[in-house]
Amino acid sequence: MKKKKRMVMMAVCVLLAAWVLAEGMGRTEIHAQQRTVVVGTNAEYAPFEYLDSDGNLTGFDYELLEAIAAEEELKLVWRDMPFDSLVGAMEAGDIEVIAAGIGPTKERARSVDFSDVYYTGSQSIVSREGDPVQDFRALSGMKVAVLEGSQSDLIVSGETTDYGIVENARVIRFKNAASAVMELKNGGADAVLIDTIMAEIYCRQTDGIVSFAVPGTEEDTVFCIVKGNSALCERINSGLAKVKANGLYDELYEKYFGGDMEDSTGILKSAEDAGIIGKIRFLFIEENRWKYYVNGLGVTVIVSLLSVFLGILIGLIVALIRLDADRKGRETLVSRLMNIYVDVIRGTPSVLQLMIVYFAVFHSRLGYVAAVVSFGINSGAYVSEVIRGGIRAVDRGQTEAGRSLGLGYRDTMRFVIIPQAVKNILPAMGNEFIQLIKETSILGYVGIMDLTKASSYVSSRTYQMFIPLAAAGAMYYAIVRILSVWLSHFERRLRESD
Amino acid sequence: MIDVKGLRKSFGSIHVLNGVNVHVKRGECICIIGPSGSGKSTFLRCLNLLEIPDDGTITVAGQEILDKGLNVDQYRQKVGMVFQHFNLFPNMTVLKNITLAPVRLNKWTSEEADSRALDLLKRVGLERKADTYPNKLSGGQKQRVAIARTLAMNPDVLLFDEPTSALDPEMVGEVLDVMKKLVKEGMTMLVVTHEMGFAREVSDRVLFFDKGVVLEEGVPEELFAHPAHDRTKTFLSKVL
Repeated sequence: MKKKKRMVMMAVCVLLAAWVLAEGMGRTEIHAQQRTVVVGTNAEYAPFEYLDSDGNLTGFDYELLEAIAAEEELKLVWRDMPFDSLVGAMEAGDIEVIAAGIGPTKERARSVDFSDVYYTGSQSIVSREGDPVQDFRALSGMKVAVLEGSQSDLIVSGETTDYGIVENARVIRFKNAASAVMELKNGGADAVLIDTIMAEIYCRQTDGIVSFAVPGTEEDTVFCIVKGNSALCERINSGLAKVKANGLYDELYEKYFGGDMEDSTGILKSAEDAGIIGKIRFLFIEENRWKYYVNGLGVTVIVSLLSVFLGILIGLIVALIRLDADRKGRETLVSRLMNIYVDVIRGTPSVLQLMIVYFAVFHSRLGYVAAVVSFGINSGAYVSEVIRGGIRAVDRGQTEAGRSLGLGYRDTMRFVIIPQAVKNILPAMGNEFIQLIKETSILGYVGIMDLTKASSYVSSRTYQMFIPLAAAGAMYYAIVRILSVWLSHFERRLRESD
Repeated sequence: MIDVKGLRKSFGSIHVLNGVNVHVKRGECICIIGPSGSGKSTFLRCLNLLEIPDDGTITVAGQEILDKGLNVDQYRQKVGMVFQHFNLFPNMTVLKNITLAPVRLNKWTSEEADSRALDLLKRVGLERKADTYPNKLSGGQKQRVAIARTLAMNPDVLLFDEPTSALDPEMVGEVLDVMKKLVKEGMTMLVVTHEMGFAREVSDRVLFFDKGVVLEEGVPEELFAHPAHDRTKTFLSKVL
């Protein structure tokens, strides 16, 4: 019976691992094909690029570049990642093109090449109706919300003075425009500086705010192409020219920036006065938004589960190596390395570890594997300390009794010490798993759509802050509850032998 | 059978054993007495290599056990140890406590293990406790199980490290009875103890430890009646 259970568990693990690998392998396979171009984008910038209700990438940039690719017989592979890591990913050779509403700044020109201009936008100041802000000078000294790393960010931070000078503004940086607008509405910011197209959409959706386009801020938008690849650059430019010539460009322009924004971008009317049921319908049912939650929940659970297994494996090995060194009273090279490993992992934030593993080690490929590896390594350090503590807490007399009977170190550990240590370890281990599940909420930093990212995405598409985030919170809470009930049940069963 | 010469052991700057010489014949029961801190327990633990001596030689059945090449696990099978705090495995039943080592070390087959363990439990009068977990046993019962567990390895020598010191007074007797039976059966035993009655009644020889050396030794009648040293006298006057 027990064996059967174990077999089933193992089979499940193997399947999960295979799924994650396949998920990742699929990407690299495409990467290896001919005439394939990997494009990086940041799907949080409607209407230029965003995810539709089924989680598929869409938007003006997306459709335009796909049209260009069709003309030029290129196959595009899209990779969604945080805006501020796009240029880095290109320098690392992970992506060849960036389509993310980027302006051709001098700074960027050092790292990438630019295509011809495909869109010209301008900057708008969004402010509250009561005290409108109309020019850059008025922004000085104000709290200004912007999109992190965007053109607006550069202007407000004073890094570029091409369009006007903003002095001493206090910059609040957000990952998406919706959060920035929400900050303004909530009074946390005095103004938002964003692209005019977006400013107009938000003003239409949200009561009590107004926007003013700032003259002289017209800025071009281009695709970035990996530095030195002039052949690719020429093909994209020629494709762009063809698309402009055959009318497809105008069609897309009309679709995304023309009259009825709501239909085209999937952004819906504010649900301010729809009542609670209407609100919930709007937030979860319309546009199949619940799918984000279900998929996000799946990602959170699977990444946590696999990380836990990897963490236990690493933790057990590290703990045994370190205990062995303790027992012999002599550090070996390996045990010293393990000490450093535990020390460094516990002494650095897991967000940084995740970003380093994802961007620097895995080069933005095999996203789920990178995540599991990163969290597994992180958890392993804590688990090893929990295991070590649990084993050391077993009375020394137990080891002596085992050894004095002639049992070897391994047998003594296996039959005498570890079974007793498990009881010491389990509560702390349970805490570690609970911690890990919540820790995975940083997956959004590397563009993986986990539960937290899903909820913030829904929130950014619906202009609602509380309910979408609270819903995700409730789901986390439910998982943690289930886990702790199961753990305490398991602990009770172990205690029965006492 | 056991020949110890010039045994020395220190923990840091504390010299616990300062040249111990002991000779034990097969079938002898030796009681080791002395004030606390005199090195009795450390001496016993050295015999089982739970402590590694700094200097000296220990020869057991013709084998020098401080040789680097010695298979410690194999040696320990021949030298059983009974601890002051029993050290039963709380995660196993009484029966499993006894069968674990002999089955793992291929002394018993798993088929015969249970019946052989029951035989041993009968010898210590606890066959009805076979399926009990240690925490349901009294101190005296625990120590008897611990003795049975040690016997399962069929050792040549048994080392007892204050086997009755952690017991309530009314349970001391049952453990001593088991030990007396072993003496009668001819087991070679070294017993660190504060039970002077036991030492006087059953031991062949008594060693008096003081400051890390064997200060005085002799047959119990002699040593208890006419101790040669003042320190032995003072000690005995306090414990008798």
